[in-house]
Amino acid sequence: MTASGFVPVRVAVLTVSDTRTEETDTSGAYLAAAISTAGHRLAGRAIVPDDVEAIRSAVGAWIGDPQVDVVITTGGTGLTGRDVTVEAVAPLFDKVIEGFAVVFHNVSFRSVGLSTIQSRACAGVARGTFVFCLPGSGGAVRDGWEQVIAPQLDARTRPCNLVEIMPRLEE
Amino acid sequence: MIRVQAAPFDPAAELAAFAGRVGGAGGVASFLGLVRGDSDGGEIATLELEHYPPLTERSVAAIGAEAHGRFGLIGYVIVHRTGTLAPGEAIVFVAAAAAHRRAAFEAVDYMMDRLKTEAPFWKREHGPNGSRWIEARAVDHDDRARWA
Repeated sequence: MTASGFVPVRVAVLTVSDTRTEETDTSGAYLAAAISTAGHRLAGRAIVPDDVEAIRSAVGAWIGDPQVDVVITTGGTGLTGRDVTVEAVAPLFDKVIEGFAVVFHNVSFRSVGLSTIQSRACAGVARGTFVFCLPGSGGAVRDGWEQVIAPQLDARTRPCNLVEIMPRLEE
Repeated sequence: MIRVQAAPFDPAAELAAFAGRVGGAGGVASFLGLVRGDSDGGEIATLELEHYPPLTERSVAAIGAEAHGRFGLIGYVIVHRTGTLAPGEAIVFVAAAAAHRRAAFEAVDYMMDRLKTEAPFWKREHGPNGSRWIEARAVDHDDRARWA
């Protein structure tokens, strides 16, 4: 990998929701558009209900697919009984990226103040794939993409970014 | 015609201009959405609306075009505000012109249900107790589902 220049990566988007449909999935539609606009490739997109098995099998299929570099989920990170994305995805992580949650909450705190504590946004590395779990709220998704994930998926971001270490995730 | 704009608009002028350019219509139905002063019992100081231009205008345009076809409209208009709005301010204006009133009424209802659930706007409420992102409510999704 060269030391400079944008490197497109392949990103799959999973919307977790009991109520959203393809038409009403605005957070997923935003992520899909923003990923392409940034110059990356949308490797897949799906909607699953707030169900541990459904979420885990969708994310599991993508992390096992060599054509997918990054998975972003939106929804199901809250505190209610129906919010099970973290429970579904965390067991798949080989490494937890604790700093993602810290930085996401920082960004989100500037946006909505203390309301951010109701989200359990998280990220990890699973079988050499980066997995980010964002809240379902459109605003939080945009904050997470624009201010944290997008710059970290840009190989030009200095001094370090997540793209440059991709080849070494499974060494 | 659709417009997504930061500038305030004059609902009466929008309605008059629209009615003036839909020759042959038997009627025009319209809806004006205002920023409410409270939500979930809490007071709202301001409502901040942001959008993502490549997605939002396309989505709003598709909603208008589908209403046009579905209800056989003669014309329609959707004006949606962005930016910082105070309670009582006009946030959205939707109007439909048709040969007969039923189609016009239904088209307005349909466009509003889809705007509430599908159009990508980020709404952040600021009140005395802090801020939060506003999402479509379950009842909005139920309303949207009526048109499946």
